[in-house]
Formats: sequence, structure tokens, C-alpha cells
Amino acid sequence: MTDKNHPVNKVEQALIQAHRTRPQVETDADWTRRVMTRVQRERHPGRPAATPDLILRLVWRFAAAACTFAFVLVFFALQTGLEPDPLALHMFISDPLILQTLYLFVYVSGATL
Amino acid sequence: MNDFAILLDRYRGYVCKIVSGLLPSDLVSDLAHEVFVEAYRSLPQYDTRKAFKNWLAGIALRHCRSYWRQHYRNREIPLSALGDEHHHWVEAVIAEDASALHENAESRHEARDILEHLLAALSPKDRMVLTLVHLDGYTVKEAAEMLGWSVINVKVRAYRSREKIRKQIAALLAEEKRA
Repeated sequence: MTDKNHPVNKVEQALIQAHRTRPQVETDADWTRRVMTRVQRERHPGRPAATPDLILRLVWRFAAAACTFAFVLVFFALQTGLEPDPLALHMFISDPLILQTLYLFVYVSGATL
Repeated sequence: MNDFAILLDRYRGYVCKIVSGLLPSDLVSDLAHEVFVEAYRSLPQYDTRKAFKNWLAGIALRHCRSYWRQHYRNREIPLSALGDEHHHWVEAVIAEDASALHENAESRHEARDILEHLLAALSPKDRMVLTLVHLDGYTVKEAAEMLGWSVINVKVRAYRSREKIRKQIAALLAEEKRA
């Protein structure tokens, strides 16, 4: 198979040629700026990150604690025989501010209670 | 900081060239971005006795390998999955029809499709070695330094992976004959 006119060799060489003449990916000034911004942030970890990153970091930082708290709350509710639906309804009706707001929405929408 | 900007400017083309040989072109700039960020983080661990270029290439290759580890499914795609235009390209290569080859973008595109098809059957390690040694033309020693492997390991893997590709090319040609 050392014969360069062998079909396998011909196809192999053509594929190598195609690989070497592939279009090159160019990086522009904007790409460089983005890399340098990331690097700058790595250099000054105390500097506030971009807002979405900051939010994500906060969410993940408290995610475990929030899940544990929710689990404990559910466990507590099941143990004490708490009935959340009637309780929430009672709180809703007994709070005059929420009721007034509800009346306002009904008035604005033109519906009747 | 300015020193790193100089390094970035000097080596970005080199990193993009390595990455573009191994990954789909739409992923190259993002991965090159990650390579430089990791290089910055790892600068304290850089051994100044070794070539910076190879050290940087090592980081780029680790990222590429990680990508292929996630996307490699040991898939043997049947050669019949290739279209007519790919078979015409193979015919033109065998017939040495120069006008049909490398003259237009479509022809190059078909060649790259076939190459991608053949490489898809290789493991991530084989794929990297074959690309560096046989496709990009680095020497076995250079590839070994970039990958951080022994020369023997690269040599053996390069030989075996090339044989696998050649077997696939032979199967493609056999199918051409049958058609």
C-alpha cells in the first residue's frame, strides 16, 4: 500500500489536503476583549461579577439551605396536621389590604363579585 | 496583565489552529476563549523549562478531548449514509479529476464531510493523535510533548488509528465499486 497511485492512498492524501486547506477561524478584537475581561475578573476575584453571574452564584450558594428549609417546613406541617389551604384562605380574607386590592381589580376589570 | 495580552495576541492563532483541527468550526472561538482563561489560571504551575507553546497546546488538547469524551458514542455510521455528492468526490479523487477537486468550496466541503464521517468512528484519543500527526503534520515527538504522552504511545496510537481510517477508506472504495 506504499504505492501513491493506490486508490486508498489517493483518497487519504485528498482528505489530508482538504483538512489542511480548511477555512481558518479568525478571532477579532471583540474576542480578545472578552478574554481579557474574563482574565481581569480572575485576577480580581473581589470585584463584583456581571449581574447574571452574581445572581446565579447567589442562587446556588443558598440552594442547599433553601431546600433543607423547605423539607423541614413540609415535615413540620405534616407532623402538626397543618392544613395550608384553609389557613391561607383565612389569612387572605382577614387581611383588609388584600381584600381592598382584590375589589379594586374587580372594579377596574368591570366584573361583579 | 499586559504581558498576558501579549501572549494572547501571539498565540491565539496557534490555539485556534489546533482547536479547529479537532472541533467543529462553530465551537472554536468559545473553546479557545476557555483555553486562555485556564492558561491564565494555571500560569503559576507552568514549568519554565518547557516550551510555553507546547504547554498551551496541552491545555487546548485537554479541552478538545473533554469535548469528544462527552460526544463520542463509539458510533459506526454506515458508509451508505453518505450522499451522492460524496461518492462523486471519491470517484473524482480516484480518477484524478483535478478540476473537480479543491477547485470549489463544495468539493472541499464534501471532503471534510467524509473525513468527519471517518473520524467519528475513532475514540477521542485516537482521533486527537491521528489529527495531530497525520492530518496536521506534527511530528510524533511534537505531538507527544503537546499531549504529555510518551513518544512510543503516540507512535503506536498514530499507527493504529491510521490503519483504522485506511480500512474505512478501503470499505468506502469497495462500496463505490459495487455501486
